[in-house]
Amino acid sequence: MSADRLRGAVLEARDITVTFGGFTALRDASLVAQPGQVTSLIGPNGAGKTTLFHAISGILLPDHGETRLDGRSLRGMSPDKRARAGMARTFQILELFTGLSVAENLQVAVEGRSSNRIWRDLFSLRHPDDPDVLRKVHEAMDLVGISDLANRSAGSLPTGLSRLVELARAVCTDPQVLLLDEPASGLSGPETDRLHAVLTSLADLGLTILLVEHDIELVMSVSKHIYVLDFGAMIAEGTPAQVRANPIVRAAYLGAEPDELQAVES
Amino acid sequence: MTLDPRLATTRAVDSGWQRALDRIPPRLRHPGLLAGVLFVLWVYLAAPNQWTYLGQQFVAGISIGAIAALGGTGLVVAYRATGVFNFAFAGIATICAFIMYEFTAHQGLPVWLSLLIVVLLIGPAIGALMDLIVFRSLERRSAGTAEKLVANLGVLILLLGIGAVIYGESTYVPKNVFSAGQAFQIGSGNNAVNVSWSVVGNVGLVVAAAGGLLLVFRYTPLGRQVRAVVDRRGLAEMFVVNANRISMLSWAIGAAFAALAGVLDAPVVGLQNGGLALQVLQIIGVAVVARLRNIGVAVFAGLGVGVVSALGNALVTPHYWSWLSWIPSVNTDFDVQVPVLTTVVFLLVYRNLDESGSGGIGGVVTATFGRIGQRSTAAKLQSVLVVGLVAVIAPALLNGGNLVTAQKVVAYSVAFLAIVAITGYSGHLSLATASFAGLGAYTTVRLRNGLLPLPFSTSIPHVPVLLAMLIGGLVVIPIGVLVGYPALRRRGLILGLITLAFAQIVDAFVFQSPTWNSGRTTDRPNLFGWSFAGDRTFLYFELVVLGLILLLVRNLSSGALGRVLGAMRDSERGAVSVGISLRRYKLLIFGASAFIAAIGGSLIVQQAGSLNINPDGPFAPLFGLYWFGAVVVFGLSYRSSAVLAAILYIVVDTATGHAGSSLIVIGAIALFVGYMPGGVIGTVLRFVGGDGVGPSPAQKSLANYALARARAEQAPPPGADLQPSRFAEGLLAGKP
Ligand SMILES: Nc1ncnc2c1ncn2[C@@H]1O[C@H](COP(=O)(O)OP(=O)(O)O)[C@@H](O)[C@H]1O
Ligand SMILES: [Mg+2]
Repeated sequence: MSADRLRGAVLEARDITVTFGGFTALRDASLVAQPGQVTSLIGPNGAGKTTLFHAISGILLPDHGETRLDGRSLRGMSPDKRARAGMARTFQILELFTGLSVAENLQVAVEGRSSNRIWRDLFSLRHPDDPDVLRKVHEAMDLVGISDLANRSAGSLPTGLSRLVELARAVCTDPQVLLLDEPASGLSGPETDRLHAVLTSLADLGLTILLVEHDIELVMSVSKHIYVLDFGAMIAEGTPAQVRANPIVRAAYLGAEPDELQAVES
Repeated sequence: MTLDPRLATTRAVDSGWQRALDRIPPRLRHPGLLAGVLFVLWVYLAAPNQWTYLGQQFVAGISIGAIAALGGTGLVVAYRATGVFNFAFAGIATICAFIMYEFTAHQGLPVWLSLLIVVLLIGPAIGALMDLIVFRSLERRSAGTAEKLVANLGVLILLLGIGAVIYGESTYVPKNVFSAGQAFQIGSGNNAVNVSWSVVGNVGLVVAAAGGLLLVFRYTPLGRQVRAVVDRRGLAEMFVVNANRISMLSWAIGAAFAALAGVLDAPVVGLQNGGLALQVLQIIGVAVVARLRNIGVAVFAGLGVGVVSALGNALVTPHYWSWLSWIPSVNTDFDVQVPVLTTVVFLLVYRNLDESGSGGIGGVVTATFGRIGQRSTAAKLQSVLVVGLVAVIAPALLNGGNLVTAQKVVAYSVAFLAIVAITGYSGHLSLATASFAGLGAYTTVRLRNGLLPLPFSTSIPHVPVLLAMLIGGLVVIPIGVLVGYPALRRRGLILGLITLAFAQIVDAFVFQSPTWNSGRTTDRPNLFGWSFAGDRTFLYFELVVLGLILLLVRNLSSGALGRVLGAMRDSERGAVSVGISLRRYKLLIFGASAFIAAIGGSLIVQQAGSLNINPDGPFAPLFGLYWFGAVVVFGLSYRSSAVLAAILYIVVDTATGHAGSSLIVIGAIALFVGYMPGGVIGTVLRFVGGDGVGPSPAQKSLANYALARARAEQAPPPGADLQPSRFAEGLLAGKP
């Protein structure tokens, strides 16, 4: 990943409300993520974190509220357009291209945005790979540490590795903003350390990273700023230290998951 | 609110219409009811003085509608309880109608006894067998929706194949189940409307059967158990519900209703293998109106569709449709058109039809597509050489009947490649390939005979066959794109239903158009004075076309385009998340597949010499299902499976001398595709070790790149200091 290709953008979610039937999954949720740092979004299961990611990335249309990228509203933009505008993401429920190899998963992420090659590929006899694309793919795999998996079928990987492939795939789209939905779940200890290093280096290169994660230790050590979501509403925000000390946050976690409280306290 | 990415761009606005709608009580807000009210209003305005006549038609419509209501109820029950849409119901209905015919016409059993045996014993037995042999083990293996769907199509194909082999395509005239005599009159004198016993019987059956079923579902422990199994099978099993018994029961009930519909429908529409099945398939519209879930709505939808068709037919005679006369096809059979149009409209109107039907067909396709990379260039060259040699030499060795068989095989291979492209490469379930092929054939013969490919008779110069074939392919592309539009939102079962309805529309409005009764023949191509009319030269011509289409299909599966289509097939969400425009590629693949099918269809009609539009003709709606089954059996994502499927499809019929015997083979194998990921080819490849693939060009260049980089000792990219490869080694060691 050469540094000149990375440019973050200010990501802003404003007053996002999402309802499913009668159930309000998100109520006026807002957040700002700055370039060059990791911003985290935490909260108990079912708080609405994934729903907020869906709304930001355009997969789901909020009842009201909007997403802005460097101040530009993305209202009405389809998810693929948002991706082309610089927003990349990973999924809590994996969405890999299971019939392709790991390398091809990344290749398609580099190529898929432009349609230049459709007609050429449709009517030509040979389909040589673009060396620039391959270089990018290789760099991304190196960065995440999955070079050895290049030829493996993406459908054959265990969850932890799949998450790393999704991360590498997202990086391949030359994003300005990276949304990561529980990237560490299913990862082993050393894998998580690796993820930590990757996130830090991507942020240092200037990317805007928004992280949803249950591994509180990882969140506390990697984030500059943390938002806390509970029952669809933002109940707190601040630096890791401020969030750790916040009594409302403690109560929310106490109500939900005791083991996570311990993590917060530690 | 929905999570579907393609639905996310529109939103209901709070308009005046919305507010007016809100004032209608929710129970009455069903769009079907609204359509019915508008229709009656229009009938009233159109034909105010014909009430007696219309009343008689109304009664007839109720009678036909009752049959549809019974069939629709059966579909809904089976779907609710098993999560599998029972396409096979059309086959069950047909077979049971034949058995009923055997009992009454040949064994001399009284009608009432035959009815009891067929509906209460044979129908349920077929359903129970389906469960025992096929679906129970699929369920135990937690097979996906797609696998069950294919198995169910297998049952349909198998049953219709059996019907075709035993009864051919002749039409039989079964006895009426209920007497056609008058039961009572409504009104008196000249204005009286007669109600026959068959009307009373049909309606009585609906009330008894559907009503009984509703009561059982609502009020008995059995009904509660069924609902529990539908919602959470695993959970229900923990609470001592015997899920196996429940699902067998549901299949049996669904099949009994199908049997009833078939037995009652056969005397009305005629007992013919493909024809009756096609009629019964229209009942799908009834289940769709009921959102595949609601028995009560299914009953009313069945009655409504019957009444609308009958009144529509009645109004054709006094020319109340004159304002529509510019569409020649309208002056025809509303019994066909109303249900089919209902199906399409409601499939498009309902946004969240059913969760379990909305998924892709991943289970069948992705499993087959585990091909990572491609074969080496040398291996590819070898196989191209071998195939090329066979293509050149084989025609020279064949003669007579074998030559004709080979011609058919090649023509169908081309058409079947359209299925490989649309389903194997991009993951869309399309059951309309035969109809696209038919439209290609239609365009060819029309142009050949100096007519535009439209339902008017406009004379143009006669077009040479080769050009007509090409135009046929091009003309069908926009139609394919149009059918692709619903696929922007739907996949899996729902898309399958939409494409099947499209096939029925093409049949009803194009092939069966009464304005079209001449100009169905074509000769074979002739290029620069060189004729391809001879059997051997025509075969060579076909092989050249097949080669070109194979090249096109290969291009759809390789390079950047192939990767994008594969990505879209495996995960639409993943695809949009990397910026792939689903719209562009979906429409592209639908257009391309339609083109390929049309070229294949044109070859098929050139081979035959004329276009057969009967229910046993090559492009009738059911044939799209057969073709899909044939390709699924060999493996959807292999080009060679199109050729093998064509061989099976053509050669078995020719060898046995019975049209339809190939369907028995195809159907029987399709039952067990769930056990053979990748179909026959995928399974064989797995057995012979690996799938014969080495690293892809991309992988090789990557390896080369790494080597080159290591040699040149370029500056390591950021993160390389984290020792990536050792790290990945650790990962791999830790997680096998
Ligand atoms: N498509 C949906 N339909 C209905 N409810 C949903 C849907 N998606 C999520 N929910 C509900 O919204 C809430 C938030 O879900 P989610 O955003 O996945 O939570 P989190 O990611 O914080 O664990 C949960 O209660 C969940 O059940
Ligand atoms: Mg989540």
